[in-house]
Amino acid sequence: MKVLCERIDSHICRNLVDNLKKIGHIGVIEKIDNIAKALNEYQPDLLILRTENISSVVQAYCQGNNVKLIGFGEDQNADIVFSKSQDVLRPTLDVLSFKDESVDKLDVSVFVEHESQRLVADFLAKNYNVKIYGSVKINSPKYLGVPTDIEKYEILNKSKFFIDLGTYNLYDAALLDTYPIIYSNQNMAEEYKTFENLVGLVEIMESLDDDKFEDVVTNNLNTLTLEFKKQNSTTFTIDVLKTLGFVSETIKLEESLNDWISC
Amino acid sequence: MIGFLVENGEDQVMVNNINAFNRNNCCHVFSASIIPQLQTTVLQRYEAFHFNGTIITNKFRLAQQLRHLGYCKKRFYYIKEYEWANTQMLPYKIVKDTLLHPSVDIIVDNQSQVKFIEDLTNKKVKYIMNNWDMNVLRQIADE
Repeated sequence: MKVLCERIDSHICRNLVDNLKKIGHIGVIEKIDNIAKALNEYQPDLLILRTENISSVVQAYCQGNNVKLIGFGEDQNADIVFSKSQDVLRPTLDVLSFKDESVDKLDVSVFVEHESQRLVADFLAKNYNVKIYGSVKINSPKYLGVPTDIEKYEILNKSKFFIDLGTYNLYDAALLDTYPIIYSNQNMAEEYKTFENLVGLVEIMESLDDDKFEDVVTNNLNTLTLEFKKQNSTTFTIDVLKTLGFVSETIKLEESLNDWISC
Repeated sequence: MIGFLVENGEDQVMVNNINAFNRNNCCHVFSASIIPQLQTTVLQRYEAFHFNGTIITNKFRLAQQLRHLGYCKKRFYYIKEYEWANTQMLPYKIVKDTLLHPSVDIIVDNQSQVKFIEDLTNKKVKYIMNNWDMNVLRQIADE
């Protein structure tokens, strides 16, 4: 399967490309002006573009050559169109390959990536046994530097709890058996522990050593992991491929999904 | 034998205690600068790579070398100040290779640091050595 894709800053697009890489070849268009040349030379089976870049020429090529088209934007000019409002992050099972069960889970980790998160991070550093990481430097010896993406997985592996101040690592954390405590003012599934302000955070931090809380955490993590194994970026890609009529590719991806689920 | 991996001779207490320790025990100092007050063998810092005893450093910057010292029997990072908190740009890898590295044991300066450092590193503090206490240095040498 050959996929030609424009660089699009979207969770869905990243999810699709990451999964399609496993079963096919991905070509990236750097300059959209060269789309006609790219189509003729690459001859893709699937084209992923912003809707504003889907011209009548592109549509005619796709119809004439049985090329499926996925669009990102508001116009309905592709086989499937994803609008901005549909662009949500989905769990990615690939993170399971970083799971290390030989490591003792002891830490409470906090990642700080934005200046707006400094206040909460400072508060946690002054009052609790936490370890702080991220690109915003916190003036505390509990700040342990800027990790790479791979090191983030290492950190999550050795963490029992992960305080998510909005860095969107909660799915990765849960899949690595690290319970996410999330800064959010929106209603989330009851399996998540959330806080809206420092008072809420203090209540959660005070309950971390409670035995009852430990049981709740274990149950919630199991529920979340099961849920993620049913609904994730790969199942989403499978649904998209099914809708577009890619039968053999769907089977290949389902096989790859089964390998992860059996982990 | 103990080897001290040091920055310079500005810490007079350190210099005095190394001199005193050297009267009854053999030790080497590895430093990039000349330290005339020291009455022991002072070697270039790179010589530490051939050293096969126990090595101690009190500097976070120098602690980054510890894991590379292939011949030494034990490696200690002596924490007097939390120097990593003062660095401008701190990649996690540096912390992982020093403070958190499994081959690097920790010495702290006083009892009040023990819990904090143990929680931070998930490692047991090996020694509490107040201001280069010679008795503790002897214990380390006898290990």
